[in-house]
Amino acid sequence: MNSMTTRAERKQKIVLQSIAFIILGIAFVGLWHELKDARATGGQPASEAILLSALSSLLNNLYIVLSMSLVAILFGIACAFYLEEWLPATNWIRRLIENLIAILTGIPSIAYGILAILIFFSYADTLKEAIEAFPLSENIEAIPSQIETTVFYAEALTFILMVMPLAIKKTQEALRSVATPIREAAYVLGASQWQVLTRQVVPIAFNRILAGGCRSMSRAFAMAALLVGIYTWHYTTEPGGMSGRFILFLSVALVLSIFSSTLIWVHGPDSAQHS
Amino acid sequence: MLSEKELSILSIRNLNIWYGEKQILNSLSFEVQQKQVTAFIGPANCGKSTLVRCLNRLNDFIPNFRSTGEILFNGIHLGASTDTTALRKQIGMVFRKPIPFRCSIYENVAYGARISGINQSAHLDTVVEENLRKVGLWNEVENILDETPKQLSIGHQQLLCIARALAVEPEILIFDEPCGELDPIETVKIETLVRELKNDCTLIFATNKRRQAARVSDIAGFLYCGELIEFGATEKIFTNPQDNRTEQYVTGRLG
Repeated sequence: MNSMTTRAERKQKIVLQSIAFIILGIAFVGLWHELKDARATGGQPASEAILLSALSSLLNNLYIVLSMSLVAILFGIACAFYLEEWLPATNWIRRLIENLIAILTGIPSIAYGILAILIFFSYADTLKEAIEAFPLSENIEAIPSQIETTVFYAEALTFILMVMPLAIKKTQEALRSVATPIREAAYVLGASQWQVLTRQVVPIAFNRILAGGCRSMSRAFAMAALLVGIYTWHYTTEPGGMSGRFILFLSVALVLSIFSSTLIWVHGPDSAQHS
Repeated sequence: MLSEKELSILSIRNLNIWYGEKQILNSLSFEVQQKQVTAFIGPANCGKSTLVRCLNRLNDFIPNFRSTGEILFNGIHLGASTDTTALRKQIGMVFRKPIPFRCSIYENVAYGARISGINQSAHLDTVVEENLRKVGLWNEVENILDETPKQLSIGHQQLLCIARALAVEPEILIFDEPCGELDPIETVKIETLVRELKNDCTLIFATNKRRQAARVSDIAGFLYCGELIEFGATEKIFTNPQDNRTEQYVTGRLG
């Protein structure tokens, strides 16, 4: 019975990973075509330039990346608590969301960056027209800032799509790592679900949740670094081709990733099981 | 007969339990008397743990758990609408493996009072001292109350868990193989304690050691393959069993 379920799970995992890789492939092919066309026409349409520079200037801001991913991570942690602690494992919504999360976390952050750029490329003109048709945008000078707002929301959505599933998955793993006997020991003393959660589960799982949050944020910075890198490489003629921001973001991503691994390593992979 | 009925604190009638398709317990009916030690004996996987975990509704967390029949606690039917949090304050439990929480020894014992919203330190101090004295652990831990229980021996950890369960002042305390991980000397301590605790509350004791059941219990039930083969006074079960299988089990020829 047990080996059967693990086999089924393995099969499911393979399918989900393949879907993720197909999306990655499509993203690469798409980007290749877009960039080739842009190079062939010898420049870039004005709207695209505005959009990309808006995007890049947004991402250039460390605090925006930080706050966007922080909101997504906190929301993800809350979602994980709800899924893991309140919804029964057999609930179809929970299973659907968990499958979606498995697909979304399987996609490397590079694919998200590329997809985000592709979407901005493809809809650049439509986006501009939509903004121009908007009654408030009669004053032509207002357009760039409005585009920036649109890009901001679009970018925030990409972040949520990328960071939240990972935060949910890592938090769920952390909550599952708290052994059932510890919960039961508290339940038999008459603790309510909320008391068990705040007094037993969260203190034990805290390091893992923190590590998961760092891992997710590292992913966000990796994507931001990628977008900034592509923008610099494609649209500026700076010697060297790599901006300081690119390096900064990449190092932040690396440091966060190492920090999260260290957290797990220091406290032991199954320290929660034995305590 | 009438007086016996009055003293009955738990009545189980026709209890059936399934995990998924597999039936674990098959129409059990018995009564648990107040201020008595009721022991359930039987070989491994005969449903002892499932049965005792049913009484404080701990099986509710198992996804494909299903049950029929009635459990009456003080004459009140435990159904889907029962407040399980309040119920578990009245029916406490001690597990096979001691599970002290990661806080200090003091906070472990004070846990029950804290979750009930009691925070006056004077009151907590009395609760902690009284219950640690009750289990005979006060002299050992008096000076290390603020330290982690991890440094205690496993037997002392189990005593701490019993003190923690007693601090909630339950009407019934369930022991699910409390000596499974302990050495003989620590086992004797727990057994003596169980005999003493009988004056304070009703005790239910699940074990697969027949002699232990004979030593601690007043009333015993023999479970075999999910069926309650025999239930009655311990003396009778061990010296004059009615069923052939019970006799084979208590004499060591079965299980």
